[in-house]
Amino acid sequence: MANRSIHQQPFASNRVAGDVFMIDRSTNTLKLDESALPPTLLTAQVVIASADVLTMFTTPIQVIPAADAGTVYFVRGGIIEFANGSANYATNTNAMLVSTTTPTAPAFLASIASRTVVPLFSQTGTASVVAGDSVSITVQTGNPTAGDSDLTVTVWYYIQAI
Amino acid sequence: MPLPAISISDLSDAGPYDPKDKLQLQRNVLGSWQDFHTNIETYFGPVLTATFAWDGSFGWSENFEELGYIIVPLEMLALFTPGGSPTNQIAQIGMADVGPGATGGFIAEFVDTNEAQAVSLYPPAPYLCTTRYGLQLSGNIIGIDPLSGTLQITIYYVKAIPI
Repeated sequence: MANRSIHQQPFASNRVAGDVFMIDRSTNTLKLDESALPPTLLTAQVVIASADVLTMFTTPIQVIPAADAGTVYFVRGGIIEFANGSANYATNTNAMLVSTTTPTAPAFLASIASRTVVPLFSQTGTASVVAGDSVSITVQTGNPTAGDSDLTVTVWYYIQAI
Repeated sequence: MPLPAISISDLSDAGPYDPKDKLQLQRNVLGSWQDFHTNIETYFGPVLTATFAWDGSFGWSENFEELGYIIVPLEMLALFTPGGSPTNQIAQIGMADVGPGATGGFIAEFVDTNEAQAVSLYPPAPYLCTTRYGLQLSGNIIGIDPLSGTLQITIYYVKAIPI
């Protein structure tokens, strides 16, 4: 490597297959391919208007766009925040993150019943997302009623090649 | 400091990483290997780690919060190290949000035996953050004695700024 300080080198703002790091292991200095390191945790965020929340059972909202061919998403967690409202959503308040093509299989659930807290998505079973599919948010059973808050949904996830 | 002049193993240990820590890498650009730098947050994402230790005594709890941020646990693991006099009692790890009106539940259960154990933890559903956006870990023993063993909990988490 060049005889320069780290900060003098160009900044790599993304991850590219084939990148190599220099490491020390025992008495050996080795190169380590990026594929041997943990995946990059990515963030997706959408703001959902109240009117769309009230139809979120019949019309799920996409949170993460479709994965590239040959890749699949691993959702790791998420939160929901409320804004601009004065009434709680009254029924059908179990929000879930799903693989868009199979919305009946909930992987992560969060309650939107109270607009004064920040619900964290909890994994409730085997989380499966179809390869190449997008991830959407919907609710169980039927459309919510009564509520008037906009939702900001933030999801953290990995992309894995298959 | 020119890197080739010193071995990495000779450097002082950094301890837990900081998301802004810089890393040096090489990338093949049009057939030529070139030097770059990045940082942990950019290359690996915003995940952070925190560790907590329960010495097996009664009444253990610890708050995990950072003013102005929502703590979002992504993955939680624990390692049980047996002590010299296993009690065979059941122990539970609890997690609740920090603040008034806390909600939560137990997130792991294990037995105080003479064997080391890996304990998987899971957030209670639904888990809520209230006014302080942090979480509280606690230990509960179903029995009358302190545990003989100890538990180390590692939480992989992200911080979110409330909207």
